[in-house]
Amino acid sequence: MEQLVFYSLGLGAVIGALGVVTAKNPILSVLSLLWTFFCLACVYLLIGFEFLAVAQILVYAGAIMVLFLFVIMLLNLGTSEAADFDTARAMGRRLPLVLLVGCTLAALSILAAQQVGGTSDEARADLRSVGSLTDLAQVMFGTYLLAFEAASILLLAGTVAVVMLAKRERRKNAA
Amino acid sequence: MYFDYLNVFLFASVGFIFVFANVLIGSLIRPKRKHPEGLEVYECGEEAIGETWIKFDIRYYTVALVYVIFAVEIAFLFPWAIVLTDAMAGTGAAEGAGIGLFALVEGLMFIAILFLGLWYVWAKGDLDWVLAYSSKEFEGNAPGSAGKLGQSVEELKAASEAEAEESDDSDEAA
Amino acid sequence: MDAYIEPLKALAPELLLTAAALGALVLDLLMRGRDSRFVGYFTLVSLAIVAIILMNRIGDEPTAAFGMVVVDNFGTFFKLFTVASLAVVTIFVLSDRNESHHHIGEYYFLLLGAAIGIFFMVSTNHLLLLMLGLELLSLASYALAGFHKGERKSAEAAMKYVVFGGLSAGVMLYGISLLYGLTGTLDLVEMAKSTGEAMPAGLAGQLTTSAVPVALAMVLVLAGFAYKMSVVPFHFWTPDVYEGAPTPVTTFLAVASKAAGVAALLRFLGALFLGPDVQSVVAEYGASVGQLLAILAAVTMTLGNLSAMRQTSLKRLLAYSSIAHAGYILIGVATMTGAGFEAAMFYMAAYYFMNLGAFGFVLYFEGTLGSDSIEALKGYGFKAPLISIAMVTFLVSLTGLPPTIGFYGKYLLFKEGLDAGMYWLVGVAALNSVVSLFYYFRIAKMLFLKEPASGSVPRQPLFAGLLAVLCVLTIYFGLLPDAIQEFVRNCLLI
Repeated sequence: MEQLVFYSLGLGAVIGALGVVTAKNPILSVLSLLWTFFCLACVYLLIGFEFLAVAQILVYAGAIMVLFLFVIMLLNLGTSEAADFDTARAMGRRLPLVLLVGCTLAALSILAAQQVGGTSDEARADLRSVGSLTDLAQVMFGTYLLAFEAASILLLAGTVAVVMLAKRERRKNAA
Repeated sequence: MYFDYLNVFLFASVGFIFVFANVLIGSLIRPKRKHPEGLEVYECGEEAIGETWIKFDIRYYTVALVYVIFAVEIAFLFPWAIVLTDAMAGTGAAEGAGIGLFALVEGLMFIAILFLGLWYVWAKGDLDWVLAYSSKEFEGNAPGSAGKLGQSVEELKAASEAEAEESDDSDEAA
Repeated sequence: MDAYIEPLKALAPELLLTAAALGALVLDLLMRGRDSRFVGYFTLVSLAIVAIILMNRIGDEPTAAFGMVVVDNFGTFFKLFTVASLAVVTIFVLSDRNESHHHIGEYYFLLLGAAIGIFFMVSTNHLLLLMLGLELLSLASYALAGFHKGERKSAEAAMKYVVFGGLSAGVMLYGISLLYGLTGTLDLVEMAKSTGEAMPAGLAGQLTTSAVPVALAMVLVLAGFAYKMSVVPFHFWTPDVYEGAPTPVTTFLAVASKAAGVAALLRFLGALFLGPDVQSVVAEYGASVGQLLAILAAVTMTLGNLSAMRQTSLKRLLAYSSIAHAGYILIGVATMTGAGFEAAMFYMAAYYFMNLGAFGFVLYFEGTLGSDSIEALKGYGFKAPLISIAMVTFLVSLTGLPPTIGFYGKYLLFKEGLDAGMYWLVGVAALNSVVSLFYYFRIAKMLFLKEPASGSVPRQPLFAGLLAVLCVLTIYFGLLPDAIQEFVRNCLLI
């Protein structure tokens, strides 16, 4: 049962991802991506990472998605420009390469997954217990405390980079 | 375990079905328009010019990006808030860990660093929406006069700064 | 509580650097961005303080902090390297004539932020923190590459860098997740140590079952390092980004960022394959990773040198030359011996002097002529003799001819390569050095053998002085390399 749910979610995510690159309308791409994020969130739920699932919805499906929409608005892609680019043909030419790389990676990953082991029931129960919020917090402020603080610097650098890059250029006017 | 999220699943499904069911029912029972005129935005009166796609101001994007950063901050702070009481009192899972004050200080540092980011965004004027009027002036400019566009913002900005602080921005003019 | 004070002391350089970065940002805000040079001076002073602390650390016993950071001499070496190159880059920014020096306080903040990322990258055996450090460095670098976003090339550079960076970070994360799945830990030392009896089976256990998944994970993780070091086939971004980014940023990417990639790679391989408690199966596997790196080294240096021959822009030429140098450094890494790693580290030290010098010359020359094309160099040597002579020295060093530090660095690399039995690789490298002589010499010829064009060169005495010092050091350490070699040996990982 769990396997079945997992594989259908995985299939859903892959279909969504394919939709992102093949859709002609950028808005459809964004919606496909949204679908992929939801599928991934459900996968997290399946392995018991409740908080991660919620964060995935909140941050990716919520905030990041808004960003994508704004970029599309910003670029002002008229319907004509979108129609000029024949996605199917562009994809078709690269299809053999895409299939080759995709299948190789998939095959190797399946091989790796088979070899991983540790998927016994106890191991999975172990994994689930980490998923709860309190445990996550304990880990975050115990083992990964430094990474937590490093993340704040990363976010700050991100803010500064955004503001700097989004600002209109002023200096070069004189030149 | 599969039934842990059953109510969530049901809730989501009902929401999902509700949307599509409404669209479907709407398409079944609404009157059909046979002529292209019927699909105009205004059936009578002004004819619509151009498309509904318009170019957004980049400042919307800045605000959205800043929002993302703070959304991530919330995602980080949520677990912190959950364990803080235990950590401070040294009870529950944090018993004997002795991380009380440290956890508090650490969380506060995290917030402080991100507030520095907020301060930065604020000080750089990315939260000021007053500049919006300036975009009207640019519409008159010929396309490709990006330099002029930037300069006008600069001048406006300098003028508003000078007004606000009553200080000379002579170096900016130069 | 005390349990947290001791590790904090061990982290003093990181904390200070973070404080400096935040301080630079606050200072910029308080000054309302009028003249950003003050922020630059502040950056220089804080870098000096961090450097002093780091110098006092050399020779201390390794300690761990918070279970993720290892404070050891190897890390300290690369931290010093970062601080020293960042200081020079800051001076470059301060003397950049193409920079407005107003409202650019972020410049220094982003540089310091990138340095914090490097600090974490070079001093951890934990793949999570390594990734965070790498992301911090990359994020700051993207923004820095696009700092002159009004210029098409700079914007394009930032865009390409983001796309390539995002791709290779994703690839690397996939590899890390596979490694985690296979071994159940993100700590490299743990990974190499585990005997394979527990579940999941650990690296040794996995290798005895089948090496294919491990190989996949290795290749994917190595891709991340290859991108930072600009090793073929992850070098595509290098010429465009180096050309488009502001020259001080290019310098930073070419020196500090590349060194961070080398350091992280050395630590990754060192902890995984050369540590004291490593299982024999794992150590044997390390040798085959070395073979892969040897092939990459040969391809990288050949491609870099051959492409450099055709360049007309000095910055692009130096970009290809830096790809070629990544290939040379990989010789030392591919030997998978302590001595080979030592040679790679020594070469990094040599690379510091000669590349900072070469990019400094580009900045000087760009600032006076407003172009970086090699054609424009004609007769520049007669107009600005001091820095042109310095440039020729750097070029000699980059080629690897005596009496410069570049020669000794290359000598060490070749020697270790031969000791490890990789004769073909050393042969390829020697041929490559001959090829590189052509294009390096072409610049020198342009500088001195053509008649000078009209016009005079404005003077920047302090900046020229810095280049002269780098030039003197290049020759000094070329004649007396023992000091640096001793220093590197003290800082060696194994």
